[in-house]
Amino acid sequence: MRKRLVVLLVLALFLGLFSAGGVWAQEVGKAFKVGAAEVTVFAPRTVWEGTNAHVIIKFENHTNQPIKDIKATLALPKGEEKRFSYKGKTELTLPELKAGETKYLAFTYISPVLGKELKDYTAVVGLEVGDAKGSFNWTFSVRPGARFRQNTPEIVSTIMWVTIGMVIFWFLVFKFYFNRSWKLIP
Amino acid sequence: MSVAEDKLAPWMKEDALVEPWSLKVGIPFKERVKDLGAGALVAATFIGSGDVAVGATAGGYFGLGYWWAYWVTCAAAWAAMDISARYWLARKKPGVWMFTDIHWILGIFLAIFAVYFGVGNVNSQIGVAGQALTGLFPSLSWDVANIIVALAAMALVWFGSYNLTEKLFFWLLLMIVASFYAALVATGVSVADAARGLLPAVDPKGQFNSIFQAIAGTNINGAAVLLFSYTMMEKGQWHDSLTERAKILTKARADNLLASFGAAVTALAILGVINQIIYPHGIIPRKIEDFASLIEPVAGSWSIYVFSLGLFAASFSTAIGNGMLAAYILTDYFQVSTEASSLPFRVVYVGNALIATALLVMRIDPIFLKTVTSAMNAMFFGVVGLVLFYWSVSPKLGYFRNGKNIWLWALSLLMLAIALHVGVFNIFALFGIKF
Repeated sequence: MRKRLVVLLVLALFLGLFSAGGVWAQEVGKAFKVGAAEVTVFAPRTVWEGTNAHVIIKFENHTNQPIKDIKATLALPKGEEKRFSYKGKTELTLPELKAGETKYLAFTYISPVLGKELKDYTAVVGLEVGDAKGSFNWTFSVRPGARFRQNTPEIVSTIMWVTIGMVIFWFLVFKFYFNRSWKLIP
Repeated sequence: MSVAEDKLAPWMKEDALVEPWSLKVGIPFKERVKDLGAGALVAATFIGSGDVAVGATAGGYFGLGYWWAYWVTCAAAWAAMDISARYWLARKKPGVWMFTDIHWILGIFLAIFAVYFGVGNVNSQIGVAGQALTGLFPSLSWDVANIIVALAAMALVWFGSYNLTEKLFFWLLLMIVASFYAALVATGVSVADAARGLLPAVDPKGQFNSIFQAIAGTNINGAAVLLFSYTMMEKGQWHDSLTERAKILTKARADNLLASFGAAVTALAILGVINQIIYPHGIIPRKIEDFASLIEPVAGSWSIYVFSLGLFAASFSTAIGNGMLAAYILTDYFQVSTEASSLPFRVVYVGNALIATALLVMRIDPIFLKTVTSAMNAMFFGVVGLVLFYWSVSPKLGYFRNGKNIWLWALSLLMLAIALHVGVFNIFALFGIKF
């Protein structure tokens, strides 16, 4: 009974903490108005070196009329553009958002280059809906990433040779130390 | 503990006289649940960093659409572990003997694969557990985190016991499930998509074959299916009376359900999160951190800690479980004391783990290595599946052979079909032929 109670408490604690996290998250992904559209920007606050970050923008039309000419732009941290690898478009458009419709635009695969300064950066997501303009300051912290070697066939062959070496090693250990004979399963 | 006498032992003579599955051994549900334990150990070993990596890819391509593949492959894993348990109860010998009893070459094959498991797989799991630890403690470097993880795993096996490991794994499994489901609660789940995911379908981007191989490779861990019989050996689950052994199997099957289907349940959380926040944008996460930084904007900054905790529990338990399996197989193969409390067992685990830790200096991407391991698992399962199928229908299994049980035949054939499919696919891939 006590064990079950502990299990339930642990689960409740996890879900509670996470729900609280969810409330805080809404400040990050907080909806705001640009023209007639309701806009929410989802972007990470923590990004690892050499890892991809994605900025996702949600446009909602809660009016009875279609909304035309929606545009989103991405400006990487000013003067520090070379610290990031980004091959995607810096301007994305949505010609129309019908009444009651929700659509997304996304700037994907933005990656801090390895070995650059680890600190907080601010990029700017520009938003235009018809004539109305808005912006979102995306501030994120770059953490050190695990720097792995490039994946090559040599890595696979190294692992194979290490395995073969270890097989021979264990044969010798069992023969000369544990068994002192070639005692194997027949 | 293993019995070398392969001639007809007294219990085998008794077994041979009884029609398969004719004994009525009703065990109350409460009693089956009360004895759960080994299932948590196997489930926590099965669910590792590979499940997150494969789930991220499968979800990125098809959202919750491949959830059905998890259930199918987990059913095959259940069948595989059931046969391994039946072999133990029929012949009083655990995993490795299933191979050597057919041909000695299969024994060598298994021993080599076990060493790879103890070194290569443990290396990638320690690497991911180290990454997860840096997610929890950002000031920690990856190298220091790896050393902490490796030392903790080695200390647990050297100074601990099987019972302690089983208890710890129960909590680690709980942490894995709670963490990933907490992420699901925060991001929300589409029940309709989950229901649709149960119906077999194929993604429009044409990735079915490679994704199915990967799902099979992580869910039917070729070698880890043998772990189940070693847990039965450790717990002394044996009796001379056939009726008592039939009762043991009934209880073990409840444990097996937890062991095999734990991955399908966890997959709902992983695929569900991706379905909500990644799949709509055509993003395929390639690294573990990709996944964390994708959840965070939707679920909040706490998500990094909760996700890291789940990832740590998954990879740490797999680093221990897979290493233990290698030690069981090698000590059994060389016919020395096989129990987790024995010196040879501990020496093998620590020896392999030391090499696995030293290899981290090479800075091999653990997810790359995990992908290689998944492919090897799948290829290896081609052989394991054939061996297990042989025993499921063999008269040598006495009372515990398939006999006229239609369900056991259906599950054995499902397991064989998946084993042959993934085995053949991966053997062809070795020669550069892909289909």
